[in-house]
Amino acid sequence: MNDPSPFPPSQPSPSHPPASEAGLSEAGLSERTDQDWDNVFEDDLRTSVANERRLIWMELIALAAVAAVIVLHFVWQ
Amino acid sequence: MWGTVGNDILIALVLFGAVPLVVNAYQYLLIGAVRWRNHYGGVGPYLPRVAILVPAWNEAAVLGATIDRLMNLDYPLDRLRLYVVDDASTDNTPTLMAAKAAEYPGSVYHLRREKGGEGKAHTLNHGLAVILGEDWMEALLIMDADVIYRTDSLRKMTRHLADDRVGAVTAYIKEGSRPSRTLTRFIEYEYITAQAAGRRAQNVLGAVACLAGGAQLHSRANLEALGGRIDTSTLAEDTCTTFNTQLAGRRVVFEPNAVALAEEPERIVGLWKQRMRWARGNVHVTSSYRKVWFHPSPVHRLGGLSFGLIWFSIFLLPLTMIVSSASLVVLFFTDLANAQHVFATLWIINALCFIFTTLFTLLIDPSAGRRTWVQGIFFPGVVSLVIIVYACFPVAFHWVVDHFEDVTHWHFTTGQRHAFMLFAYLWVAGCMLAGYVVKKIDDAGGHRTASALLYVVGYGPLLCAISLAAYVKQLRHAEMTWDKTEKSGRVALTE
Repeated sequence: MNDPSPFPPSQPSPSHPPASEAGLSEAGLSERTDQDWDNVFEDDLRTSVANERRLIWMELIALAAVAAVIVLHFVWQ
Repeated sequence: MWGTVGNDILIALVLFGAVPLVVNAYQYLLIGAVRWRNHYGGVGPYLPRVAILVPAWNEAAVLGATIDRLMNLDYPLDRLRLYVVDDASTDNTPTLMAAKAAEYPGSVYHLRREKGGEGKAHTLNHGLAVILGEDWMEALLIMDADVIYRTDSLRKMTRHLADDRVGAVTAYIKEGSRPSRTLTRFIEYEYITAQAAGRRAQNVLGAVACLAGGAQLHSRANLEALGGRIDTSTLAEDTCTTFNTQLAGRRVVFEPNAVALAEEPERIVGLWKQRMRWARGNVHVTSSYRKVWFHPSPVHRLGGLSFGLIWFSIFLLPLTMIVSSASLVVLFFTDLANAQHVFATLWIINALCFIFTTLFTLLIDPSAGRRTWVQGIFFPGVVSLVIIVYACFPVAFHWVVDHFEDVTHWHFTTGQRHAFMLFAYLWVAGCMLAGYVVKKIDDAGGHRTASALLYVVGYGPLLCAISLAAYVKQLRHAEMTWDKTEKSGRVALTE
């Protein structure tokens, strides 16, 4: 594994003004500490995993539609 | 004896035409498994020093906005450097770059090639030589000048490089032109199928076919293992880089939650040029890596059965359509009853696969799905949709036809019904010819007519027509030229 910590402990790192998707405080946007970045990472990870987990339900909905078409096919024969 | 065996062979060849859609449905079935098979267990809060490499030839219309957006990524500024390799541009790219380098000192660099026009790989290599010549870079993002990243995309990509088994990461490229046109909406839908769906399935398989040219993040170690250069002998340098990375034992990861928007052609002629380049590149890749296909290896997953099936079902799609159609026509003249049955079976299989993949596609990316659901439905074209209805619901179809006859007092003769049937059999492959005609109409200036006909013929058949034309060009050993897709800066971040 590469070094997972990009900054020395508690050292602020320069960043940019765009609004964060991670829900950090406004002060954290311009001067994020490594703890802030860790929080951003955790938040991103939580969202990404949730997005991937919901796909199984989408797949089941699509399969249900196929099943419905098969039933209709035989009903209308 | 031969009659029975011959018919059985013809029936098998007709059903061979369903293989690509069945394999595509199988690929979609894999997607649900990302819940268990993904790389999120290997990620970490890793923010390496990233050099962003942008090849540019006469991109002044889009470069300024792209640079501003990159400099506003939600990523530490002291860990970002942007290198624009100006491939001997003749527009005002040098002036623009001088201004941007002054605006972002220490972050934006202008690398000028005085001799250009050799292709993207040569341009990238010019930048790679400079970037790898210094120790600063820990990861390299290769992108296109028109691509706009969401602010959180880069950090969502770099987190995978915390696992040093990963050599490269690619993002979800979406068509982002606004206002959208008929063709760009078809492309937007296609990109959900090819990326949000297809590459997720490849993540499950552990073998990725291609790092998107507009979003490929490499670790320094991976680039150095590749020799620090991009292959200049192919039109599919992105795919070659992807394959070489995995053949060397490093993983390639698709990150669907890192989104980048790109501008794609709004004219069919432009799409034809772009996809011709891609398709000819794929012929080169298929041939160059012939020892990889269906040869499982402990080092990589490219030789797996599933990955090979997915690759070749797309690669051979035009051929399967021609074989299926020709077999149907022969059956029509030799065994009409069996021809009707096998035709219905072929289209019922196609219809079920189409319904499953289309609905799943629209659900995978709901925001893009809401914009492109019409294009998703009309992807195979109106003619094929009518055939699907006929195959799946024959009683209902005949009921409609009977009512049409009652209302209009027009009665179809047996000969006319057979003519329709023969047309439907020929359409399986003839749709590609129709796609070529649509392109010629667009070429001749009939843009609106071509766009309308695209719904009738289908976007899928158009793509197959391009692939077939590319294979013919390859067989003729036609010269490979780098036809760059022109960009005008129509991309907008709207989500």
